[in-house]
Amino acid sequence: MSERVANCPNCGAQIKFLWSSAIQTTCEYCHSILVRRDVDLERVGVVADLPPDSSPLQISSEGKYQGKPFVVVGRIVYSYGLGAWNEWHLMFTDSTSGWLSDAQLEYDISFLTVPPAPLAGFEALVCGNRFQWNGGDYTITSITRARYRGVQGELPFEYWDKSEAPFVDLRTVDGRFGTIDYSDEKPLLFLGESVEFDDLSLKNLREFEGWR
Amino acid sequence: MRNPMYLLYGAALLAVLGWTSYNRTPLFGGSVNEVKNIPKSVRDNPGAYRSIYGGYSRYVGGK
Amino acid sequence: MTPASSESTIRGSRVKGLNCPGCGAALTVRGFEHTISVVCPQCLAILSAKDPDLQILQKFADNTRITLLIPLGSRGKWKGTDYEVIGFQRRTFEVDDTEYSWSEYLLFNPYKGFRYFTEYQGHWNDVHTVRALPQPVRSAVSKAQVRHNGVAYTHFSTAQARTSYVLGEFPWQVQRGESFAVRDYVAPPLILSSESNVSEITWSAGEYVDGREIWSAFKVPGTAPRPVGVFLNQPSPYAARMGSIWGLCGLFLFLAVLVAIAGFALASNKEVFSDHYRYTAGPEKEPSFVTPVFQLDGGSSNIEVYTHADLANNWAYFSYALINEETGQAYDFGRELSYYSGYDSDGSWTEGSNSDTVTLSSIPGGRYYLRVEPEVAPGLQSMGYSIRLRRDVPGFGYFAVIFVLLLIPPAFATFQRFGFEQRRWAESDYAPVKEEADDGVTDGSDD
Repeated sequence: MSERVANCPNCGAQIKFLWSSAIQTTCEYCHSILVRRDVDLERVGVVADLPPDSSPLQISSEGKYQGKPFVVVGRIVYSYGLGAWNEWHLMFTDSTSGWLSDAQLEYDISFLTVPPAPLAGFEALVCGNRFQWNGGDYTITSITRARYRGVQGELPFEYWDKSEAPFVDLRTVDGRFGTIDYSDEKPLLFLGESVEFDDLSLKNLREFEGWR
Repeated sequence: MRNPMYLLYGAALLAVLGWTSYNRTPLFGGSVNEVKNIPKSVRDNPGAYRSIYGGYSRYVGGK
Repeated sequence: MTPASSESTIRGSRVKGLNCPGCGAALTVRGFEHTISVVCPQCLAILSAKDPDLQILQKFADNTRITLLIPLGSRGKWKGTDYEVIGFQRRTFEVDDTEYSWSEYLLFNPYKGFRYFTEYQGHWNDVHTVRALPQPVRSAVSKAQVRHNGVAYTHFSTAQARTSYVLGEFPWQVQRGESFAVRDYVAPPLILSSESNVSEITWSAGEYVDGREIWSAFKVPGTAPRPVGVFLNQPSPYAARMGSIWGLCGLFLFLAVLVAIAGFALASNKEVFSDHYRYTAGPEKEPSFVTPVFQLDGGSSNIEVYTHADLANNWAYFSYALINEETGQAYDFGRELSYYSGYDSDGSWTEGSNSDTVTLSSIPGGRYYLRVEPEVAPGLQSMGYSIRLRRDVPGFGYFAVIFVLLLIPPAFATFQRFGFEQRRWAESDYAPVKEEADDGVTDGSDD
């Protein structure tokens, strides 16, 4: 389906798609979670209050990663302890998806990767475990039982109302990054690298009072 | 140019070395007293020569 | 219900309506939603910024307040980005029952994130967390090393540090008394540190900075405090010059050798006269004599006069005059020889020498003869002696002296550098121990 415009089945508001392949999106007015089904949008849930955050990124921010331009089209919000972080969904010009993790202004970019061997169960892993993927030597640096807090905008899969979101983060000596998302039945592996704000040529960011 | 002082110092020392090598200057040379106009007669009568380096003994030589 | 997408401009410090539940003082929050704990500037209680009621997490029991060198709220441009100082921590550790503390200033930019300035006795470092894992490496030296970003860092110290004082705000839940094992690795002017407890480990990388740069960038009133002693990653003021001064020295020594070789090769070192004689004591004999005339080649050069006498516990004095037959110019000089030997309880001994060599310089070329007047110790009846003259001899005296003089400045510089490094490492875990010391590290042995 390549419809770029649709109407919210709940409140009738116009939904404009930034990404033609989005599977799920949210309505800005009634906060319904909408999933694409063939011709129409189906309302599957509603987004509760998202925790207030101060990420400089917002939906429709733009940037470049390794020369390839992207647009921020959606996000998933998680929290752990007293803090929260965003997983920003990036849409590249070739219609591929990437993820930009923004935790206390430390940025990691990653892409869904098919693991060469099945991933171990969450309970089996501890900090220090090592894995070899795509030529990188990854070590587990943190194991987090995060909480799902909400979604916003366009996502490449159906994702809402998760209770617990366990994550395992891994890093290498050369700055590569990996994360395994255990919030679904099937764990998902994302591989990428840590990046600095300046590496992304970001535009259309939020403004902060008192800051340029 | 991190060591301008040492460069000057070394260049000066090398210049001294070059100069003394060229002039064959010894480090500890003998002190010499120059006397002019020695007459040719000294070749026939060496005792007539009056040296300030008269040595320890008293003046010798004929009158 | 708050809208899922917040307003495009995020409001700044929520001064209005934020008051400390303990003492009522007004609070400033500079870190927007990143701030998790905020410290009341008046009663110093630690409050939870995420709690609408600003729940008190920890009260302040002590009485001593610390004056910050850089006031909270100071803004400055650092490495091309504007930062604001939003938090302050004092970290304290113990060595041999003595407490030492360093300060940490938390800097914030809403786009670029956080960084830290650490300060100890006037030494400042610009620090940020690193996410790429440092790699332990096989150390070529006795101390452990880790590698990060292509640089090898050497272990300097491990200490258990606790948070002893906080002010301002933090993006994590801060707690006075909270303790971490801090391991420092240095590659001056860089530093790599790990902070760990049982559940987590964080690495940070830092670079030594001159306090005056911070004062100037952040327009801090007054002047930066003068640094005391040598800090673990303080760059050596001598290091930069080391390689080049020894390089220059090598060049100079090489050139000196070339000059010496040239001087040796070009000196004709020609024997112009040699003869031996016998001195016989006698009342009427005229002791002085003249040698045959010989040629001294070249323009102005030197002449070496070698005298040898068969002495046995005696002395002889030779009064010489080198006379130019044509110009009548005489070069007058005297040489003394004395030689004594004997045998006593310590073995045999000798004193003096029975030969003498002297070099006269700047003698013009021409036809010369030598007038010789020998004088011997009273009572000596007969003595054999020989005289030899060489024209244009090379000398090694200046070469030897200049060789040594060339080595002195780089040797001194190396000595200075060594002294600096000694003072640096005197503060480390590897300094020679004066008395029994336990550094109080609780997380097990060092690797």
